[in-house]
Amino acid sequence: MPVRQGKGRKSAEFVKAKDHMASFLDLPQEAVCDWPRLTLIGNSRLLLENHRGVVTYESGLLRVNATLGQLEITGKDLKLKVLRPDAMAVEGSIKSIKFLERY
Amino acid sequence: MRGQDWQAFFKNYVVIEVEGNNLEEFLDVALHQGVIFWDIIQGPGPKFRAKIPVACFAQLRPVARKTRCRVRLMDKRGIIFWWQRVKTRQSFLAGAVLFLLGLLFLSNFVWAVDVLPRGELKKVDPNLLKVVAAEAGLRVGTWKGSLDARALEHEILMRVPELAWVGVNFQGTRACIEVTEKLFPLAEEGGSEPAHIVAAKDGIISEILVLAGQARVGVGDTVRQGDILISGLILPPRENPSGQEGQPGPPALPRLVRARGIVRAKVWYEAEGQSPREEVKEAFTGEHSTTVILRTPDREYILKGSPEPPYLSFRQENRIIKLPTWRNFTFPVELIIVTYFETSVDRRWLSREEAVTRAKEQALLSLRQSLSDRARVLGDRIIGITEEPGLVRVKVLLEVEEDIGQTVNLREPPRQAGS
Repeated sequence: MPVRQGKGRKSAEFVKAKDHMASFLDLPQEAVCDWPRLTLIGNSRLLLENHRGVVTYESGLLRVNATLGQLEITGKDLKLKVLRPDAMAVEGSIKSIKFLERY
Repeated sequence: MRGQDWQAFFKNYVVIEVEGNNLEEFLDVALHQGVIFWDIIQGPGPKFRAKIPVACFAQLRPVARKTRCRVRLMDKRGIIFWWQRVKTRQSFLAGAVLFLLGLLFLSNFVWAVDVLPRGELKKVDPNLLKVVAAEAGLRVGTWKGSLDARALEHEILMRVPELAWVGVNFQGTRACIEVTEKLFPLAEEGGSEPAHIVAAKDGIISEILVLAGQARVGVGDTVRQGDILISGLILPPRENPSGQEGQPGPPALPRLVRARGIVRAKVWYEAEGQSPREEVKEAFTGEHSTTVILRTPDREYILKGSPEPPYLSFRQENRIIKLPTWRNFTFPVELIIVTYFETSVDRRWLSREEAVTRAKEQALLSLRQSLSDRARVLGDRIIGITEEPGLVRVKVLLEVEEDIGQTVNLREPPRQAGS
């Protein structure tokens, strides 16, 4: 088993091992790996679970922190319908959802 | 979520406006504190408006200080805030309570009294019943609690002897008096005026029984309609023809009574019947087919089956299924289920005798329906047969023994009794 390096940072191997274990045990990956789970309904509603905070919020752009990096949502009249510590619901006409590279 | 729109009323939330340069940081820190936001609206400029639960509001102050944002409370919504507002408007609250109490209070009174006759009222005037009910205590404006329906029924029944049954019930603020009238026996038997019994029909007397009055006819007499059968005028017995006693005595005077009695007589009725020579018999073959039609106000849609009856000769049975009506609203769409039963038609020529028998039966049937229950049929006779192409007409004479007496009041003293 890989050992945690430093203060709470997970190594790439550790994440990979968890990923393997999740698929081996048939567990939902978003639960095991803390990945964001996105549920998109049409282009008008997005349910985003497991987020790590809002970075930018404008009516045409929404950036959200997540485990895999930042999520960029662009669209028109974006509105945060619900914002909870672990989940959010975005309404509006969504144009794109993009994972920004980790920096 | 959509459901929050109506749930929000019970949720007790506050609308806040946050202003500052690092709003995202504010949101981030607040989320870590466990604050829930909803309906976040980006305002013009560096501010946003959001709704948060009441309990979370206190948590926001340190967050705002930390992130150097300004939080302003814009609105308080929810049932407790509503209640607080209502509490400050005491008179409004009092008015609402008073209104409800007034409604409750007024609904305890009778505001309408209606008479609902069961069957036709012949003797009793519904308005009179209302007056009687008012005298018994049931009037508009009475407190319902002071009324006892059973006692009222009894009281009304006692005061109006023509009634057989009274039912009082309350439907909200409306009192319904249901009444049924007594059925009195026929009026002519109840009369006490002097009367004759006269013949209602022509006939030959076969039996006469006098209960009151004096017989004017005997068995075997032929009477015509209107003849006096039993007279209500009783003549004194004749003086002895020989007059050997020689004692005149006080002159007996004629007496007037109401004649009663039974006079049965043979009466003849004539009737005509006809029968076609061709007999058409229709029998079901057992074949049937069903058509289901949906009818809307504009047109009909055939859901199943053929639009035309599939048989040459058939009987049709329609079943209409409607949704129950509600008040004045009738659902405009209905379902019609038509079942066609195939029949086979059989034609046969009747012999003359058969046709005559049928025609006679038909004639007798129509006659018997018009006879009274107490009539006794003595016999029937065919008195004439006319034949037309394809048709036989028969004239039948029916001999019946029945009561022909009819009570007729003496309005004026009879000019002469007997003949």
